[in-house]
Amino acid sequence: METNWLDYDWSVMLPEATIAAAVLLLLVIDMLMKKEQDRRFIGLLSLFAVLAAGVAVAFGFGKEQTLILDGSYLVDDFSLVFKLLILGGTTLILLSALSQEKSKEIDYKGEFYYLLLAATLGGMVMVSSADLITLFVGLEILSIASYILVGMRKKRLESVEAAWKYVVMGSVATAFILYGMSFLYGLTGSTNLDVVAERIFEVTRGGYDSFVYLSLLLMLVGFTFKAASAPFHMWAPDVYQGAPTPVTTFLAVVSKTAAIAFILRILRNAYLPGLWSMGEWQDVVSKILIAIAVASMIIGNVVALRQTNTKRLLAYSSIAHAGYLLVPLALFASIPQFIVGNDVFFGSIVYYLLAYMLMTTGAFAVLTIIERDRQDTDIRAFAGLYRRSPWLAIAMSIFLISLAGIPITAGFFGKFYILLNAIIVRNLWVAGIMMVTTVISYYYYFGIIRQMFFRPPTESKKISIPLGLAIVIVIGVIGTIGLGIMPKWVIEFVEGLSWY
Amino acid sequence: MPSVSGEFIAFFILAVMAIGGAVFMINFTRVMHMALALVFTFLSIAGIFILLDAEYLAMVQILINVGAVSVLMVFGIMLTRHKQEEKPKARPLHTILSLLGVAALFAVMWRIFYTTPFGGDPADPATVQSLGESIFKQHVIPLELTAVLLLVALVGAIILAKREESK
Amino acid sequence: MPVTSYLVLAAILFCIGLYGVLTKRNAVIVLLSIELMLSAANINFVAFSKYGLYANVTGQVFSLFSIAVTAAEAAVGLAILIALYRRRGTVEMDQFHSLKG
Repeated sequence: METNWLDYDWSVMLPEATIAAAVLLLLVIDMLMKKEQDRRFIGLLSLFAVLAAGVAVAFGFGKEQTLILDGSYLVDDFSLVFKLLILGGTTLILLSALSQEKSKEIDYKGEFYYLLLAATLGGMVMVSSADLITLFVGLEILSIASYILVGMRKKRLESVEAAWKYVVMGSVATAFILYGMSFLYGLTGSTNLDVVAERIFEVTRGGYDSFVYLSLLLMLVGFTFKAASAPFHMWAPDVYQGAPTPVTTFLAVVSKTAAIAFILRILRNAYLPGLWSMGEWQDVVSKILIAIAVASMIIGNVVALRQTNTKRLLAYSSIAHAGYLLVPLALFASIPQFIVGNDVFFGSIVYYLLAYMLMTTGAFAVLTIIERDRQDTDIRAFAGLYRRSPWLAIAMSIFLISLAGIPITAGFFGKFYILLNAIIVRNLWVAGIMMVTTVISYYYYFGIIRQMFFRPPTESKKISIPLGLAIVIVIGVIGTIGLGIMPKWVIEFVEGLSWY
Repeated sequence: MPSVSGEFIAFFILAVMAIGGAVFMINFTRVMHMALALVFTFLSIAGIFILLDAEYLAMVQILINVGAVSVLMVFGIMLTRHKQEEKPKARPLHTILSLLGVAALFAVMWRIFYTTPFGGDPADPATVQSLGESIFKQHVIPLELTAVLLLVALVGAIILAKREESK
Repeated sequence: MPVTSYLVLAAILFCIGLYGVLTKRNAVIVLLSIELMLSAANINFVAFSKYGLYANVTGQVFSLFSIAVTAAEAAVGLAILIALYRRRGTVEMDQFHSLKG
């Protein structure tokens, strides 16, 4: 508190400031415009704001870690990488939403864009703070904006019902996180993660370890909900199905990235240093996380087998992917020199999230085109897609192959690196489950491919592909294949960053 | 066993009122009674805050939770049609499992609370000045973000609850 | 007056709220139960702000933020409930089942 607040380098908040300013500006513009005026440029403006924020984030690399107000806001390589992922995901979603204006997918155009930007702002705050209060407020901005986005297509009952389920279960998860945070505060008397980490070390030795675990477990209940992983994943299929497709993509990609980063930040910065040196992390926390990861992989992949709705299928698939993502998180402190090992494990998480973002947004973009064409998201809507639009079918196959984790795609290398992590720490048991569940997942991903290539189409009309969605699909295909052929670029970049 | 102090008596009364309100909320059959029972709980929580030297928070609790949130909920009840009585429970298994789960959670917490009691001395009461300095200096970033959040909630609530214009 | 009593009170309220969310079928009551759970967390913050191991004012600050944020959450929840009521004509949760897999 010695520093005058004017002396901080506030310019590092430029990305957040850009997005926040865009939210306010678009809100005012939307209010002042007449009802029947064309609102297409609002989408373009928000796309521009996201890209500008992305450039501002990219310029932050290679600088020293910056703290504002004792870490109430902080910029380090960790936050920059995750911000880029969040902004990249939002860009793809905005692109695919822009071309849907003519269809009835989104009824309220202006609101959709600035709420999406507000949710993105929440996600960005969640990845760049070392203070529980700021993290909590960021989480709530993301959550509340998401509740509204899910329920926005309110002429359709499913949308509103999904929003209701989401707001109830999401608020319960918030209550658990807040309750867990209250114990963490009680033990440490601080909301700053570094101070918390020091004092956790002291209080765990001082006999308060049961309180430490209580706070961790309560928070984990909320975390697993927000990241849509087992055992609190049940909202995901319903909400994914009921939400408008761009919003589903947002939940599957951006929300999940932010939630994983949030879990990572709190576990690694607050709990790991205090619990690691006494072996408590390896004995207890790591095992709990492995159990969550394994349960997500098994439940996600097995239940997906009997889904007939593509959105629900992708929801279960995203639960399974959350499981894979939690494996490095669970294992990364299991080797003695965990500081050294950090880079490898973070590299695999970031690489996997990037691959997951590309293939999931791509798959959802194809699904959007099918949904426009057939007014249906059932798997049968894909029947005969190859005859009607061969390129679309091939693109979708690439995304599905990548989601399934078959070689020369990004998804394969993502899984491969995580598998390597498990083998490095000699946790062959987890590696085995990863492989078995991956093989199980082939079945349902190939179910869609079978529909596209081997079923006769019910109509022969050509499918029109709007420009924005076409761009998203092309980016997805290039990214998925490119990352699959040259994974080293991303891995080396990520491992070259400092993950203190 | 601590000697019976004034604080203990006040705490005991307020705690019984708070828990009583919550239990009545669960057990009443008419929706409006449930909401009023919860107002009672919120008021008792404000009293608990005063016991804990947090007078400012007690006021905020009364203004926001007792005032705004409860009135909002009462409006919610008025604007929607309710059956006068809750139907008898059709899902006994679900109820029993929920009860068992919640009881297990509580048992675990109870055990933790009583096996490792906190030994800290009470801190000096926080003044409104120290509270304000903490919020407007140390936590000014989340404060500004809360403003964005409230704006989002406001706009979102309007979008969602607005009646659709018929074409 | 040990902090344990306050913690137990908060835990009781939290558990009652959780039970209400799990079993109650009236949607407004479910929202109220969630408010109860969040209030329990606030009691914890304020109690720790006086009696915690490193007691200080931050706990009260956190609970101020949480009161503001949860009020917003309640408003959004109620707006969704009203929108749902317009489509459905009921607030009984067991009749919300258009989403099935």
